[in-house]
Amino acid sequence: MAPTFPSGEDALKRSPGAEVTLDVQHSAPPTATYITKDDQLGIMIACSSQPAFGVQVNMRILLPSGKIVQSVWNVQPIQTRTGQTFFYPLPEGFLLSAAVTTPFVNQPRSTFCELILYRGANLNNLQNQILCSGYPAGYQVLSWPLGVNTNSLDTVGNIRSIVGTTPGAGAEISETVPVGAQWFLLAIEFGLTASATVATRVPQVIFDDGTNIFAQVVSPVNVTASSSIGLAFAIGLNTGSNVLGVANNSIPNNLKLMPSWRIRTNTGSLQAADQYSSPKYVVEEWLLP
Amino acid sequence: MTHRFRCLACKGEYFDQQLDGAPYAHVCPPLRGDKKKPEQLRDDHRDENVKLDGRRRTIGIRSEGAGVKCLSDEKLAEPRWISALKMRIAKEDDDDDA
Repeated sequence: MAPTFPSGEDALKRSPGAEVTLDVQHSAPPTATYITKDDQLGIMIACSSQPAFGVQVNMRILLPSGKIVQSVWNVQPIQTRTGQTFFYPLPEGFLLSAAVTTPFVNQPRSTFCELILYRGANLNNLQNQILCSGYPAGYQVLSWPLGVNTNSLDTVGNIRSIVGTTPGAGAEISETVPVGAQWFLLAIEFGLTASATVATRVPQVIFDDGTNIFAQVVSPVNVTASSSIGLAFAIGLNTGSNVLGVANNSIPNNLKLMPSWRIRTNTGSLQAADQYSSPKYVVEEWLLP
Repeated sequence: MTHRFRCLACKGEYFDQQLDGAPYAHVCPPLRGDKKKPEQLRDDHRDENVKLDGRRRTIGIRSEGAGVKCLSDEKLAEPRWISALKMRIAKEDDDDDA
């Protein structure tokens, strides 16, 4: 639909090109961010995927000559979750705008990025200003000067569905929060098949920091010889007995788990030939770059 | 593409990569304790989480343990993300020496 002009004039037709000349001599700076030749751009990026999803950084800079230049950097980290910083020299001038996008389709909130202005050489650099920070994804672009900055924790996390290790016979389930991640367990499900050895198995889910147990949730039902059961634990779940082969119980709400902390089972009277299935669990994950 | 591995220490089986692309770092469960002795790690405990130096650079995985066996591709000696990690570390060491 063609635009209409109440005044009867099409502004675009009257101004097809640049009719304004910037006065770069004795003028007030357009932004407070003036870059000198001693300044560098630092792009800190952390990604949970492998190979990692990269980001594209776009910047517009007003040079002393009055020319506005566009710079583009494509950066891809090679470490998983651990933050890596890449340094790039900048021309002298006024920084007008900066944006961070992910040109590839990725899992939302699997990549965290910060744009930082440094002063000095790489080994002795000083962080002077964080331009923007957050999780860019698809159409969710990080930008400066207009944009909302978040750190890697104070925002909605990445919802992940994980299939863990199927333990060996007679072994417990044990899942460890990976380096560079903070987890919030939303739900976990697994099965236990008991051998013919007569014993009453009492499964429970425990949370520890690698050494000390700080939370335990007991299964509402026990498992007898030659039987099997599915066990589902989730936030807000009501305790439920063995209905259709599944028992439920609730797990702590808002329990944040740090790197190397563990979610595992501890089963009373677990026998050598008993077999747990692989745990399937959903977590909300934040990066700790 | 994900591959299934068996840990030769704890006999646990796992996929090396999740559907969302994140690598899966297997860690052996501790040995069950009893009234006489507490839980403890196995002697050949495997921990595939990355190990960082003081500058937060990755320098390897925490513990190789007894190794792994790939059940879906016999040519793979370990998860590919770990092999790529080791190659990159070796290259960075060469660059540092140079």
